[in-house]
Amino acid sequence: MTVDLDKYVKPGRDYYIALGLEGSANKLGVGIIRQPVGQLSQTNRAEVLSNVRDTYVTPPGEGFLPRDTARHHRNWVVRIIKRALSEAKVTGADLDCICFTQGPGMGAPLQSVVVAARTLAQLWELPLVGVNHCVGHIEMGREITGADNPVVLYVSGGNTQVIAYSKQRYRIFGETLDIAIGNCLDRFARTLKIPNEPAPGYNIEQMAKKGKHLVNLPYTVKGMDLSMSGILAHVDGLAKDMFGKQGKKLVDEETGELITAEDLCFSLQEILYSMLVEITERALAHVNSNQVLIVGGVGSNERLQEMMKLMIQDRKNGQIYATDERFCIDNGIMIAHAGLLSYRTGQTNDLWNTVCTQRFRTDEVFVKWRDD
Amino acid sequence: MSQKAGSAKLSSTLSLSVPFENEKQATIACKSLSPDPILKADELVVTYKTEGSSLVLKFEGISDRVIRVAISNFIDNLKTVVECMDEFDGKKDFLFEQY
Amino acid sequence: MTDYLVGQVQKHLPHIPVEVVSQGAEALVFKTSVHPYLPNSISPYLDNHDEYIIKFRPPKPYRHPKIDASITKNRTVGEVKFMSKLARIGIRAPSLISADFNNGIIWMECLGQTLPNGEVSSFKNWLWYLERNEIPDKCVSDEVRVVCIKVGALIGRLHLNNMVHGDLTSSNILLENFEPALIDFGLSSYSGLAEDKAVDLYVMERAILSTHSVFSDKYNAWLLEGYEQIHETEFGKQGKKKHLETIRKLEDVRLRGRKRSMLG
Repeated sequence: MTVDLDKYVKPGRDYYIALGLEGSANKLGVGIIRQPVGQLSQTNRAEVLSNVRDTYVTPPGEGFLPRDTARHHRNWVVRIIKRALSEAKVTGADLDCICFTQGPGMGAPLQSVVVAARTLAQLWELPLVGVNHCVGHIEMGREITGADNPVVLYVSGGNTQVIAYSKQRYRIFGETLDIAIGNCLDRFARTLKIPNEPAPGYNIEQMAKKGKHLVNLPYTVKGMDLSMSGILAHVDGLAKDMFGKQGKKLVDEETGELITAEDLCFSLQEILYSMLVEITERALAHVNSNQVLIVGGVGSNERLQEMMKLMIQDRKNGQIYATDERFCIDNGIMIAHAGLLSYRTGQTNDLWNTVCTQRFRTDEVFVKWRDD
Repeated sequence: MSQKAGSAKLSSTLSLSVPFENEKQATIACKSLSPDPILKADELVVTYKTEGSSLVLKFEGISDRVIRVAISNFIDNLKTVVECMDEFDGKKDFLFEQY
Repeated sequence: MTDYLVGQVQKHLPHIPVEVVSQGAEALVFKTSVHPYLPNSISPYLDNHDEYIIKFRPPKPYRHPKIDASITKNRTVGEVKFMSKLARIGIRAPSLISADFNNGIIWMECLGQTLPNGEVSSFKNWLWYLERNEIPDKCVSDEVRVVCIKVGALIGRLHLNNMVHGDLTSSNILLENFEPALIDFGLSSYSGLAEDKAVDLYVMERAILSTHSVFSDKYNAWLLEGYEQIHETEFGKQGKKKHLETIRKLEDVRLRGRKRSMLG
């Protein structure tokens, strides 16, 4: 690689420090990262100085609405920034830049956080760097796991994409044609009135572990794309039949045993994750790669990781990389990390260019810090 | 809220003046709050400027309701700006203690 | 690992010499010199009597056994039926030789050549080869344009027969003397709906964009040019109407893609 990443280092220093703010959905995160000069590698790694998060949790059966989520972020953002600074033991003067999520995400929460970013940047006379949320996940995943050029499965509440790098862009090879995986799981959790604490997907996962019987659900893969709304409608229908007024009983064809809510969670996970693993494998075959990196909140699901591992074992020299919930689930550190890489290549945003956007595709970002 | 004749369409207007501690803070607030576009530009126009140590806004909308919503949003964001100033202004070299 | 998968196919096909050609996402592709039932491996219908392709869908250990069995069987049966229909209506694709549905095995004609860099002459490998080895002008030469138009026409003929490929990528098109042939019909289906055809085109458009990004605009335009031409030349006024319907839907599908909310 030949990209010069050190044109903007502060005189007399051999490292950079950035603060990152994330608030594109129901997590508010602030992180502070330190990157040494030179290319990042396994022997020259970035250091997480702090990574603080506060999640807006709604009652069972309810999703998080933009307005309420924005209010949560506004209420907490200053406190979380202070906590991140104190944990990292750095001052404003130590920072090179302030990074913020510019999209994609929910408009009101994004906007509530960027206002704090703009104010802080002006008070401390620091440059601002807008970061694509998805690119944040990818760069943090690469840094933590050491995967140099993987096919990335990005699975979260709002995104389901299979991504691979080529010619300074993260290109989308496959994605959902309708709803995102996390959204699908969240909505089913709402149907079952499962608690949203700590996360609806986590609770579905725990219930699925107790499920035994596989219920027939549609399987909808289209090339490297997939569709999930039909599956959700189907399983929602089953749940409403079983737990609604009708109280309809469903039995397993083989054993004659009653189908439970746990069985529905189990079946939903099995079918959705099979589809995700399949489109990932399709992308691997298509770009002749053998590394997979899973990022995004749903990436912390153990069953998904296990299935991906089984898939990759059957591929020559296959390797799988995943991060734990500190980095999988939306956080500020990934925004700081990706933003700092961008800053090091001279990409900053002036104030008028810091407007957030709900739709910001992964492949719109010019990945100036890579040229492999 | 004063109704003004003139532009028949944006007939409702309101001016708001927010005092800050100094001119610098008023300028920062103006630059933090003004970049975000108004979604329905044909229904509402908001202009920002500073006068000394005050931030002065002018809302022009098609109805009082539109202006009420805009002001409510503005005040929400203003709270973030003011809180940031209270906590961080002049503290660039300050090491925050365990919170 | 892959050796263990080779072992699996050999269990189902004892005494048949096989050589791995590629590991796709859902299937392993082997070459063999043996025809399953003709003596001396001479088949009157095929040009290539020296080599045959064996496509094997191994059990996927990550899938629930019930899901796995049903997918393997459905796709193998579906692919075989699709291929036989393609042969009947004369759309270029490998000829079917034999199949074992429960074990996910299809024996078929060997199409395609070897590129100078040793890769199989898929549309993808050819474009990549041009991009990596030649001057950039070659990538958008008349030769490439003609091939793109032919590929577009082939897809057009498929759709005019109310058949949808389901996984149109540049990997799933083989070139033989610059004549394209379709392969890989595991996700194929039958539909006359403009919506389904539009999604088929959208999947292809996106695959070209991500795989051949530098010249994707040109490639996609040429593909659609060939797609349009075949509608008019072979089906006249009615073809023109169908084409318009599908392209309108394609615009909808594209818009849906861009407008899809991407929260969180």
